Amino acid sequence: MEEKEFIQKLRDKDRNAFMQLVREYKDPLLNVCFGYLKDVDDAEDLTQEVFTEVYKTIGNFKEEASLFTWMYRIAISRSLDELKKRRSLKRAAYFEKRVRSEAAELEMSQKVSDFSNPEEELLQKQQQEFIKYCLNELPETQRTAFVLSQQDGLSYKEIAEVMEKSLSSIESLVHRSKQNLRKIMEGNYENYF
Amino acid sequence: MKSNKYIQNHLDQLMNSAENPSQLSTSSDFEDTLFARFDAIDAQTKPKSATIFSISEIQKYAAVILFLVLNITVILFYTTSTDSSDDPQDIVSEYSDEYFPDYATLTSLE
Repeated sequence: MEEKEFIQKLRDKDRNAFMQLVREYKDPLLNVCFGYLKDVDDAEDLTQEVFTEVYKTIGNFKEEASLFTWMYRIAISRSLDELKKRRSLKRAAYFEKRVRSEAAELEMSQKVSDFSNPEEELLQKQQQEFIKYCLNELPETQRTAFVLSQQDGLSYKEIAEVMEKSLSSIESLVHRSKQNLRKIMEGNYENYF
Repeated sequence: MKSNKYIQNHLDQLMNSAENPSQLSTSSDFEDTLFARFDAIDAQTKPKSATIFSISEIQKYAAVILFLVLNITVILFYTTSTDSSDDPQDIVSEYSDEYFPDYATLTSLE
C-alpha cells in the first residue's frame, strides 16, 4: 500500500490502519522515549501519548515529511517537553516516588531471583543512573542525535530528516556527542564509583 | 584507590552500554490501553446530533396556512372589537366643555 493511501486510511480513523501503524512503530518509539527518560514505565506512557497525538492530529499532517519522520519528531518533542517539565518543577514527590519504586523493584527482584547477586544488581543500577546523568548533561541536539543513532535500523539519512539537518552535520553531531559523553563520564566518574 | 587502567576499562564498558542499550518492547496491554484511549477520543469528538423531525410537503403547507389563518383571525378580532360607540361629536363637545367653558361660567367667576 502506498503511503498516501495509508495516510488517508489513518485520516479516516481506520482502526486496521492504526493497528498496523502501532505494531510497526510502538517499539522504536518506546526506545526513543526511553533514550530520553531512562524509565520504562514513563517511556511507555509517553509512547501512548505520541500515538494519541498522531490519532488526534493526523488530519493536520501536511505530508511535507514522511509519516515516520513526523512521528519521531512528535516523540522527540514530547520527550524533551517531559524532561523540561521535570527539571522546572523539580518534583520532589516524583523523585521520592521513583526512589521508592526503585527500592521496591530491587526488593522484588531480590525475592524473585534468589541466585542473583544483590551487589551486582546495585552496581547495575548505579551504572544506569550514571549513564542517565551523563546523557542529561549533553546539549539537546547532541543528545537527540545520540539517542536516534542508537535506534535499530535508523540510518543517518533518516536521523537527518527527523532533525532537519544535513547528513554531514548529523555525522559530526553523533561523533561529537560520543566524545562529549566520554568527557562527561570521565569528569563525573569519581562522584559515582 | 582504583587504577587508571581499571577506570578507563570501566568507562569503555559504560560507553558501550550507553551506545548499545538493550532494545525494549512495549508491555502486553499496550495496544488495548491505546485503543481504549482512541475510543474515548472518538466518543468526545463525535458530533452531537439533535432529534430531527421530518414533515411531509402537505404538512408544511398546512402549517403555513394554519399560521396565516390564525394571524388574520387575531387581527380581524382586534379591529372589529374596538369600541366604536363613541360618537366623534360627543367627544368634541366633552373636551370643548372642559377647555372652553361657556360665557356664563366665566363671568360668574369674576
